Amino acid sequence: MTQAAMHPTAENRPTTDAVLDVRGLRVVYRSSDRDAVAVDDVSFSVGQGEMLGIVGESGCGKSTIALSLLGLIPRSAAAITARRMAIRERDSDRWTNLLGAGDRVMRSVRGAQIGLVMQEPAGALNPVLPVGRQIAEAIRAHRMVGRAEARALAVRSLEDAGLPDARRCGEAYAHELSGGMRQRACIAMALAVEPVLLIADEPTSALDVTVQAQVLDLLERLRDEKRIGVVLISHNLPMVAERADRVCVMYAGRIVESGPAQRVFERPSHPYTEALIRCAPRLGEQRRRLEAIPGAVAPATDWPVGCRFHPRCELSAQIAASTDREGTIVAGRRVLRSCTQPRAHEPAGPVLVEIEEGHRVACWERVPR
Amino acid sequence: MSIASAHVVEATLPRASVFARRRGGRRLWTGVVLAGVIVAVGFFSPLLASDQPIVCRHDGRVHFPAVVDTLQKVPLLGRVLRKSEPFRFPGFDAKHALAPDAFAIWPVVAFGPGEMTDDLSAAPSREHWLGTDEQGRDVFARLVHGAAVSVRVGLLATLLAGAIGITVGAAAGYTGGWTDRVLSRVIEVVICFPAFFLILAVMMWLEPSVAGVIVVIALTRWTGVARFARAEFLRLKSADFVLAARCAGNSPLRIAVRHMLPCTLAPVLVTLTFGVADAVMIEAGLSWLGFGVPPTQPSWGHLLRSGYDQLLSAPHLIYPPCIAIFATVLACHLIGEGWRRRLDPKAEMVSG
Repeated sequence: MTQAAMHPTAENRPTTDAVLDVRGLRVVYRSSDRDAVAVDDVSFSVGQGEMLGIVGESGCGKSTIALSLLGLIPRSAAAITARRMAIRERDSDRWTNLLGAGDRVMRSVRGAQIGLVMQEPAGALNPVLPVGRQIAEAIRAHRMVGRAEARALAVRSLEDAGLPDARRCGEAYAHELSGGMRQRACIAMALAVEPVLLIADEPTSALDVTVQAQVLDLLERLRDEKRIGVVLISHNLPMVAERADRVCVMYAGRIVESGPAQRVFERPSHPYTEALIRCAPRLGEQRRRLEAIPGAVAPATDWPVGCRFHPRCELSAQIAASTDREGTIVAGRRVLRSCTQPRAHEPAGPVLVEIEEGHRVACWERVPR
Repeated sequence: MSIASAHVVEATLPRASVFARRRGGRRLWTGVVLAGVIVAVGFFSPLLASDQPIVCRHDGRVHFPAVVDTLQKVPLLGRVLRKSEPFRFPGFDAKHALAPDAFAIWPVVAFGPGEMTDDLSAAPSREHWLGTDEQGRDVFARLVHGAAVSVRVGLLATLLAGAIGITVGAAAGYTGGWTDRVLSRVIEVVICFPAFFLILAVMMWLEPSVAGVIVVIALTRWTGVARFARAEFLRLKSADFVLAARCAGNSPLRIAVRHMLPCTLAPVLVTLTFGVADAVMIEAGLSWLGFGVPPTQPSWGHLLRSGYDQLLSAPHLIYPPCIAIFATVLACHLIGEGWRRRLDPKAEMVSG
């Protein structure tokens, strides 16, 4: 792990060794009555051998990012725009544009350059094909190898994923494996063709707590040994902070805070990040009632005007209660009026502003303009 | 690897025999045995009833005419294998040509399906187990040889219908959108035609032939499978493992054939077993009306016709084909139903 990867440079400049570079990604799902802006002006990059955590509640657009990177959202279903969305080939300077790429290009990207690990390992494996056969199929989709060689490669990738007795596991069906083994098999399948980037979409949510740590250990090991860029999508900020190099906290389709994982976790600046941390139980802590963030994420068809977090924002409510600044009632709570109105230069809510090196926050109150 | 202690559960569940005594086991078994008997009778029909011996010595050489007849039913062997002279000549009458004292082993019933004797509409006897029809042909011989025709028509027509149905259904279900809309309408249009009358209308224009019957049945009976396959592919399309397969870079065709087809196969095969029963009945119906298998070939439909025509004068003729058709349809349904129960996790856990 190089120092550069541990502490990547600021967000708007791609890190020198970035493998994935996304600038101004916007995904709008089309529906008959109203368009839903699932992802709005999101920028991030992932370096080679770096783990980037993307954290947020359900409905924040985390998974949409994963799907749009893989080109899995049908053109008819959503409009995807970005200033740049590209992936770099391993150890070369050749970038592949992911935006508006044709089906053929995307097929060569999926698996070979970007691998995906899904939340539910039980569903991600074909119930009627032996695990090894499925992995061999994925290998044969990209490489001109024979059946036997593909099978051998599949066994090797199962070994890399830490499955004991990989040969036998390769012959097993999904239901014959335990949950953790299934997820390892899924990781083996995603990494069979040695992509430069692995997207893990809530890879541990469906797993036993004891197995969760093992799967995360595995992801860390693969990142370090194979120098794979990992995008770890989760709703568990403390867990991500512990594992990832950098974190992006997403709310309502936008990144509200980003920076080196430890710093964001120890010195959270956005009220949403603070709330997320308070939501998770911590070891060695006095017994306390776990907090919940009041309300729910608004539907993507109508995000709140102004700062999108204002209906649930503790900070805004506190300031409105303790100062004489003008307040307004939103969803039964009194919040700052200034948070509920769009600003001329920031019509879609606050943009990210750097508060310390690499640490950026999108909050009008924390970072006064 | 701390997970190394995790165990692979012994792979007993899916690899257990389909015929194990589980849900629907007895039903399935009965059907399989019954169908096996019918298929075997059809296949070995020349050894059971033929106007040529199984083994004989003729003109100083040993001949196996009935054995060759049997082996010729094996698809490719039929082109290579030929009966020895003079048994392959059409007009050759082995019964009279063979010297009376020559060595010969005859089938249990020494009459061919088309061989005419002088006993017209005879009642069952030691010589003619099930009697003879109005042209003096042995009913047992015709029944046994008719099984071969029925089995062939039933299996091949269903296989062809299944291939068409799965292809169309998979294309509709997997592609979706306009393809699905167009193909679904095509399926509905074909369903709307009363199949039997459509077949009848087509057969009137065709020379009667077994191949014609097979193709016509297949072209009208594929819709059920197509709808089933479409529904299965539609359901599987959104499955996580299909998404995972896409993420691994598999092409759509590869995903459809290698990943989705195996999942749909079991339920589709179940519906196909019922299709075999349908095809057998359609073939019999067509032959009964005279539009099916050519009259030179034995068919249960023909037997049914001659039994029907002489219902009052020779009532024994109607039973054999009826029982044969009933047994075949029953076997197909037992297999289909038993198999369906086997695959249906919600079916009650009672055997039989």
